[in-house]
Amino acid sequence: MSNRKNKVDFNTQWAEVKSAIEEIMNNLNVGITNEKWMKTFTNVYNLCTKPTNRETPRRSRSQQGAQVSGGLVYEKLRELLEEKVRVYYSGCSDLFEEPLLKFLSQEWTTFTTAGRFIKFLFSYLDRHYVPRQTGGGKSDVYLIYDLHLVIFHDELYKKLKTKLVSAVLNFIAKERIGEHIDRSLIRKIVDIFVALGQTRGKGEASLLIYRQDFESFFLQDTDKFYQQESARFISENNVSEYMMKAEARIDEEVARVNAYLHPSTEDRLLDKCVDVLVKQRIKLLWKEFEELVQIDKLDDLQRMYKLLNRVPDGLEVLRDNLEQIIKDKGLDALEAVKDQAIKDPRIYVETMLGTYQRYHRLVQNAFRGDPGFVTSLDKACKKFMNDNAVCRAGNSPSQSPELVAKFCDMLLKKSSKNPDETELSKTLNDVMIVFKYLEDKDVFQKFYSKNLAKRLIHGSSVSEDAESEMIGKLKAACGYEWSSKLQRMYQDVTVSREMNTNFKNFIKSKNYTLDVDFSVMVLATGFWPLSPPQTKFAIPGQLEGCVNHFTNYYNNTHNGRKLNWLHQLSRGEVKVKLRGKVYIFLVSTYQMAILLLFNTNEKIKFEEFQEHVQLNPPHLQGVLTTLIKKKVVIADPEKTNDHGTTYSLNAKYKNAKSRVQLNVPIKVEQHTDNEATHRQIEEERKMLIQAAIVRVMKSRKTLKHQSLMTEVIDQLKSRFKPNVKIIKKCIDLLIEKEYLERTQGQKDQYNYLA
Amino acid sequence: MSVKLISSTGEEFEVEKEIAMMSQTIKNMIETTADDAPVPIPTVKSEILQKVIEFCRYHYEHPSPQKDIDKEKESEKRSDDIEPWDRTFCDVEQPVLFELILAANFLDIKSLLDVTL
Repeated sequence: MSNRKNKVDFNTQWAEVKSAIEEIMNNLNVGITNEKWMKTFTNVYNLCTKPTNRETPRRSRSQQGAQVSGGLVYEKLRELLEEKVRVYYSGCSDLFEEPLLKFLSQEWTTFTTAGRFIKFLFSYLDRHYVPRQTGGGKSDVYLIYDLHLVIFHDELYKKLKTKLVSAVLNFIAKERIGEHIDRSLIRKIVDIFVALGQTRGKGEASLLIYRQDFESFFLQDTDKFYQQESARFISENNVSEYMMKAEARIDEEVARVNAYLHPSTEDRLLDKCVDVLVKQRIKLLWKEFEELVQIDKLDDLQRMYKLLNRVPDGLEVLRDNLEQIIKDKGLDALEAVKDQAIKDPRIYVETMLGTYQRYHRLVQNAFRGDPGFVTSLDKACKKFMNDNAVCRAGNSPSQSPELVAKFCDMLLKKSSKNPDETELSKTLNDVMIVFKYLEDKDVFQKFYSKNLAKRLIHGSSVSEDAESEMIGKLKAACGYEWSSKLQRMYQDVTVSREMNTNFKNFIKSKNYTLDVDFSVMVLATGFWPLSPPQTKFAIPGQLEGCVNHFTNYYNNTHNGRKLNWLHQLSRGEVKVKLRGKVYIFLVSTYQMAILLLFNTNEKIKFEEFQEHVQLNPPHLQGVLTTLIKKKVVIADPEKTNDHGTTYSLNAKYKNAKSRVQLNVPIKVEQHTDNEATHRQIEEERKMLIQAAIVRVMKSRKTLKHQSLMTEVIDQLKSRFKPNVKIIKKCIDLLIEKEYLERTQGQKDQYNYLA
Repeated sequence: MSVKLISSTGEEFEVEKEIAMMSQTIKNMIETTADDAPVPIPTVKSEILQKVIEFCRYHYEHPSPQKDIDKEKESEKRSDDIEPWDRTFCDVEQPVLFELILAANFLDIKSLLDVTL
């Protein structure tokens, strides 16, 4: 490429280049003309490409690389730049603090701006000379702009850096004690630390100078400053004030990073601040927590949360603490009302909800719904809602779900105290919160379905919408399978209503007559918690027609289905004229059968009742007891009620009301009812446990005892909390039934037998 | 916007700024000086400068988008990858080609170096 005819005189051309560079550096704001630029560029180009009169440069006699075209120009430029920077140094070597920073920032700006011009003028070197050198393994040859940085670093920065860094740190220290400083100046100096690193590589390597020369000292200073401040402040103020201070300081440091430090410092700086301001005082904060919770200091708690959230595991202690506090609060609250609560499910549920809602608000507001704290609340509620003073005061093993189910019944049963629709809906939602925490959901379900059955059969629901809404909520909470029975019960009632209309039309079309107003409910066996009658019973002749007609009608429309009449649940109304006044008695079918007999006889013996009504003696006695108690029937001799007793209607019966409810359950009956329900639940649990064991073993084939236990408990815990002893019993039972066997020669291991 | 270029033989060529800036050297200059004056190109004579401008104008008006950077690198070694227009453009006397290469080097026009070398 060289043109030997045009040998150039190196010194002359270089002198021109040099003067152009000086001009650029001295008149940065003015710039140079196109002509001058092109002239200089051409000069550099020629010096690099054409043979000169100085083939062997002095400086690089021993350096192979410099003999490559351009080497001499590169060396000349390096000398020139070094000379420039040495001049800067001599101008600031005696300066300290702010003047030093100002001077340096000024010279830096000039030098690097000029560097961006010079790099273009020498782009021929960047294109050809530098890549060839660095490609050949030379590490002290830099791209032209980097050369500027390297020289600035070696000739100036290195010599000044101690003074420089301490000046910057002094500025920051001043700002920390509240003085105003020139942030833009610090920002510029920080930029120098960062920019100088660019020649050292990419990414983290490029920040080496910033980190080693500045950041490490800055963090040390930070540590020292906050150690002192924290110790002093805590000795003079309370924890609330300390937290406020710490929060303000941390915010301030973040703002500092954003204003004039490298963004990568934020994490390190925060770590340091959090370590000194929070972690080292963590026990103090933890100690204060309970007190703050007790007095509901929301803003302090919120602050504590934010501070401790920055420390790994900082919140764990608080979470455990909160769980304990909520549990204790819940237990205390229930202890205080246990005597009323055992009788009044409303008080029980509302007391539990009160505790829940107080801490739910706390968790949401102070801890921003942090999942860890939500878990604390859940765990605590689970504990105090399932095992508390009220549960222990009650005799039955699962008092809690029973009471909650009773409360639902209170809400959903028609009464004078029913709340309006929106309030009812809200209360039902509240009940669902408690329900979520109940362990023995199967007990709840049992009682709930029994109560639901009663409400549906007796038509005593507050409204169908409310029933359906609650079933919907239970379905949402527990899934279809769980609530399907309830759903089915509800459906049966709706279907029955339609069926009654159809039946009446049928009667009309056949020109039959029914002597009484009659309606029927058809309830699917297996979905309703109802048992067949435990006594024989002869239906009174007056009702026989209805029953037969309906049986016929039903068998005709639904072929193959079997109707069982549950007379013990049926009821009706009878008109009675006593002492000239007509009363309407609301009675059970059994009562009706007995009362109807008085139409034909004034006095009736126990044995005659038995013969006509056919009830078993205990049931007959029960029915008669109620009638005697209600003063409708008189026994002779008085206070007897057995074989040999004679009964007659009370001729002196007097009641201000004309509609009288006689169909009331007998107390004793109710009690045995509850016990039976609990027995039933126990039995059902055993079945569920066995089913779960078989399911697990079927998929695992062979399993250790401990793993089997865990998996079974896991499967069942959404319904109830299985008792370990009972699970063991069930395993033994299944071994007996040859579903499982113990693995030969292995302790505590079972095999599944297909 | 246009730029006036003056060849070493003193002739003025007016070209659109975008075309002129296909020369990295001219681009660097325009970005660092704040001067509208004509730009002397002291190493390139009229005859060559005209051809350089023709080359730049053609490629400015016929950008080849499918040619990504990787392919361009490959094509450096493969003369059969050179487009027909470029081949015709390079079909000149050796001395002219030689001067084109020098101009491309001075003006830092990579695509021109690629087709001439």
